[in-house]
Amino acid sequence: MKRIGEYIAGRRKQGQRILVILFLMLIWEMSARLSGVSPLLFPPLSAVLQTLFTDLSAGTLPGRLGYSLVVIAEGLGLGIAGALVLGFTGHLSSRAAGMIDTIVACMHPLPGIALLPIVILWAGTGRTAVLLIIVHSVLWPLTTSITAGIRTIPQHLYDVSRNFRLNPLQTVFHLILPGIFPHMITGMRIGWARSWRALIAAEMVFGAAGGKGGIGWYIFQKRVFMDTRGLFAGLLLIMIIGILFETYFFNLLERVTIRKWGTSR
Amino acid sequence: MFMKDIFSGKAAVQGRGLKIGRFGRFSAAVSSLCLVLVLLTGLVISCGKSGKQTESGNEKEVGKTFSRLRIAEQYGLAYAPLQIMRRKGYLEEELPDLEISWQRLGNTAAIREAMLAGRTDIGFMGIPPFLIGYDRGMGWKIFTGLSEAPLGLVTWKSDIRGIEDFGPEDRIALPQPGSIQHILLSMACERELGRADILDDILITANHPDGMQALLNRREISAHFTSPPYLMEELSEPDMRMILSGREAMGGEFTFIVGVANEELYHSHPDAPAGIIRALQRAEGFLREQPFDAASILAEEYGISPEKTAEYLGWEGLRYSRNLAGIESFIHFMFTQEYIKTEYRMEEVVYTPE
Repeated sequence: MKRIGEYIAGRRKQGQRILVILFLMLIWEMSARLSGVSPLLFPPLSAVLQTLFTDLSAGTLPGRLGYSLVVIAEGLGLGIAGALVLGFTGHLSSRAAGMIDTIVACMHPLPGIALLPIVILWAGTGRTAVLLIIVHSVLWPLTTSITAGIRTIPQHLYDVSRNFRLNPLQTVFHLILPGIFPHMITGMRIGWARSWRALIAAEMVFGAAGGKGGIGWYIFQKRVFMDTRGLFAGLLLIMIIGILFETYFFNLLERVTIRKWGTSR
Repeated sequence: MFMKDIFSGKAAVQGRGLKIGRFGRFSAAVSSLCLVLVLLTGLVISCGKSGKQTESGNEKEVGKTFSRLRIAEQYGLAYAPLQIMRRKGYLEEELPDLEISWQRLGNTAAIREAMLAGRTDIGFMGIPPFLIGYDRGMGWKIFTGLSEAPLGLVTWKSDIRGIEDFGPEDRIALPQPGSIQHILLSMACERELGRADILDDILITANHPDGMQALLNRREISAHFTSPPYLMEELSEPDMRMILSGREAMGGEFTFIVGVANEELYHSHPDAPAGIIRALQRAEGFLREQPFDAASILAEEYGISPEKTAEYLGWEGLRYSRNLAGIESFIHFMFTQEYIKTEYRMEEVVYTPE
């Protein structure tokens, strides 16, 4: 019964979302057509979708998108690994925890784009620079989430795990990792959004190297060639990818991990 | 396994929250939908309003109350007459009824966007970005030339003697795709290597100061296509050489920077562009007749010494002139390479004085 209820609620939520999106699309099309604003400033949705489809089917857009997704996946992976290391180090030693807290507090408020000049000095203007910016934008919020996750695991669960005579490694795999996963997924959602921002900001500053570039480069090219429809198409694509990942990937991840384990609903 | 047992206890405790949570979620969805509706209505209304406002604003400018002239320029020695004009107040003397404001924007795309948004009346830029804007439907034309300048591709690598020597690992920095530097490089590539876009894969977008910095690091960037004063600064380093000049790339002379005016402004207020042209002539005269005074004024603008500025001003190929050269060649090349859709005639893109 509970399952059916959840299923219906989920369907209803999806239906609402689709309605809202359709409504927004209608508003866009109507306002662009009725306001009489130059299409160079605000093109109607139909024209934007047309550009998006031609660029997706015949143009360079799939390559750009793939490039962006690969860089983001790498950046997220590195960020998660780094954050796990920092989180567990903080868990093992309270002195290290204090240090890590301070480092996070110092680094977290720095926007990636502000670090860009230094990153260019150190790593040049290639893919490495973009990757560094993404890792920076992901690592600190994730570390915060993971540290918070570790701290919220109740003491009695540690006691229970000791009763089961789990060694430290087993404690990590059977207690801490499942316990912090809800926090980690929240952190990853934030990290995912941030890494997009970082990637696109970085690519719009120094563009593509070696003819390869992602969505940010696509948007930049559309800007310099004054293709406003293409600009909007790029933004739209980022939104679509964002929604798809949010509704499918992260929800799936939750379903197969923390809901199955019962650490969260 | 046991991990599941450990957490199921916790889940059972939290189970009570379920109903409240779901109910809360539903009402939250409804209220957020309402919020979205309200926001959108507001947005559409304000959009419609602002659209009308700019229209009526334009009408105002076209009508009696046209009172300010906003001019956008960029940074560099090629804009010297504008900088002199601004510092000496020539334009204020020529157009006493108008409030003159100067904008210095980072690149041509920004000038184009400012004009499109109705925040700039007159812009100064390279011919190719102007043509791209014209082709995309901007109501603007060229009303004057400003300068011819030596542009060049500078490298520090001793094994690169010409554009045919660039390998896949090399990187060439230039302002942006579609900039005059990019188009000139493509022209040279087409003529010498047979394909215009052959080097496009090794280009890196950087504004002039960043590009110069990267070139002087002598690491990642092999070459930089730039303009004065960056060109001179780079060439003053002993190991830097110019392997391609703008003139070689073009196969002739060409105007580097042109002045572009909005069509509405040009036809309703021909006195404004005419005033700019008179002020430009005075500034050119000042640059010609009092080069040392001019150099000391410009030195402050660029943050380089007056001696160096004077030396750069006398550089071969730097000429301030209102003549227009090379427009047809740019149009022809950009049309054949599909940067623009039509091979425009000269009189379509340049105002003909009445």
